[in-house]
Amino acid sequence: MESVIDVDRKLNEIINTVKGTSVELAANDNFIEILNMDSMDIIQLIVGIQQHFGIDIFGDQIDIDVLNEYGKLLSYIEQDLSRMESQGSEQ
Amino acid sequence: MNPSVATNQEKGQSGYFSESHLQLREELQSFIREEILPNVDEWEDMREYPLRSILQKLGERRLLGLRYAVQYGGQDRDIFSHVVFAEELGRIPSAGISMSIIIHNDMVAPLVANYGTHEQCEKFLVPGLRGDVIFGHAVSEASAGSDVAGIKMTAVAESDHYRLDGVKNVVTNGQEADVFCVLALLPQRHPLTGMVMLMVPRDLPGVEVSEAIPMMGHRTASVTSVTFNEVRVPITYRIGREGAGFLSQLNQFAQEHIISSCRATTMADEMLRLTAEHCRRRITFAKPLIENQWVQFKLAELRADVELCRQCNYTAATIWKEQGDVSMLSAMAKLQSSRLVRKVSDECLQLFGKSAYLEHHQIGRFYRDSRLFSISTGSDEMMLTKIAKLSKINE
Repeated sequence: MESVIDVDRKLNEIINTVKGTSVELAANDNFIEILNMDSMDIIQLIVGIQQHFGIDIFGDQIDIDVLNEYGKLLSYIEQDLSRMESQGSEQ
Repeated sequence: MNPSVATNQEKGQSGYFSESHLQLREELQSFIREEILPNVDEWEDMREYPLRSILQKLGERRLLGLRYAVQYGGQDRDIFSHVVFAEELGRIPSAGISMSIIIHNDMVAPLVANYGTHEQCEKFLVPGLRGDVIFGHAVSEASAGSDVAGIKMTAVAESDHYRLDGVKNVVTNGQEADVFCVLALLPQRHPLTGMVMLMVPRDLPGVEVSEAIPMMGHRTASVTSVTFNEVRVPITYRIGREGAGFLSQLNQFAQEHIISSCRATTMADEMLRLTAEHCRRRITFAKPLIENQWVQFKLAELRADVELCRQCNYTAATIWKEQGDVSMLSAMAKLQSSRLVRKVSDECLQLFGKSAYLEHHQIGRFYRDSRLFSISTGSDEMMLTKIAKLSKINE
C-alpha cells in the first residue's frame, strides 16, 4: 500500500495534471473553486483516481462533500485504500 | 425488419453476442412487427402514441430493464442486452417512439437502479419495469441544454422535504410521465457538487405540465415543458447523496451516449437496407438504379461507415461492461453516429427521389427524425468539447 505521503503527492499530481497547473494543495483548499474546475475536469479527476488508486467514486456513492475539500478527498482515498488492504489480507 | 439482414449483421458479432442475445433480438423484432409497425403512420399523424400500453406490453414480456436486478423486475442480463434493445428500437420508422422508450428504460431507470436505495427501487423501479409507471427526464432548461451545470432550478432543503422551483423544457414523455426525474441546484452550492436528483411524482401540488410542443421530428415523443412551483418533494425521493446529482447524471450521460449511438447506427442501417431495396426495384433509363456503379459505391461507402460506427459502439459497450472509463469513446461514438445518421438520411432521400419527400414516407420521416441526434442528449459540439478536453488537444 502507498504511504500517506505518496497518496498525497499522487493526488496532488492527478489534480494538477487535469488542470495543467503546479499548485501545492492544502487540506482546507476547495480545489474545484481554486482551480476553476469544470465538469470535464471532474470526470478526468475521477477517472485518474480510479485508474491510479482503483477507487470508483461514481460507484461508491461517496459523500459528495469530499470533493469540496482537498483534505477530505485525501482522507477518503486513504481510508478506502486501508479498507481494501485489510479486506485483501483477510482473504 | 428483414430477418435476413439481421442474420447477416449478426455473423460478424459473435464475439459480442450470445445465443440468448440473438433470441432477444428476434423477440424484439417480433414485438415491434406486431405491436408498433402497423400503427406507426396513424401515430405519427396523431403526434402521439399509447406509450403506457406499449411499455406494459414490453413489461409483460420481460423486455424492460434487462440488466437490472431480478428483485426489481429486471432480468439480470448484461449491457449488450441493452445494446440489442436500443438497436432494434432504432429501426422503428418513428424515432419519437424509440426515444420515449429509451428515456424511460435507459435514462431514468438506470439512475434509480444505480443510485437509488432499496426502498426507492421498490417504489419507482419495480412499477417502472412493469410499465405501470412512466418516467420523464426533466433536466434541460431554456438556458441550460448541453451545459447541464448551468441549470437554474433550485431545491431548498426544508425539514423533511425539498422545495422545488423552476421550469424544465423539452421534457420527453412529458404528457404521459407519472414521475419526473429532476435535476436541481442546492442554493449557494457549487453546481458540480451541489445538485440533487429528485424523483417527482406528477401529482404533487405545484407540478404543471404544458401542452405537447410540436417538433420538426420525433413527433410521437410527447415533449412538453414542466413547471415546478414550490413543489414539496420528500427527501426520501432524492436519488443518491445530497450534492451528487450532477456527477450521477454526468456518469449516466456517458453511458447513455452509447445507447443513443446504437439507436442512430441501426437507424442508418435500416435506411440503407430500404434504399438498396428501392434501388434494385427502381428502373431509370431502362435499367435498375442499382446497376449504376456510382450507386453501388455510394451505398457501399455508407455501409462501411455504418459498420465502423457499429464496431465503435460495441467496443464502447465492452468497456462499459467491464466497468472501465467510457467517457472518451462514448462521446466519439455519439458524435460519429449522430453525424452519420444525418448523412445517410440525406443520401438515401436523394436516391429515393421525390417519393421520399412526401409526408408519410419512411425515409422522409427518418430524415426529419435523424436531425435531433446531433442536438439531443449532448450536442455534437458538446461531444467535440469533451473529446478535445479529454485528449488534451490544447496542451
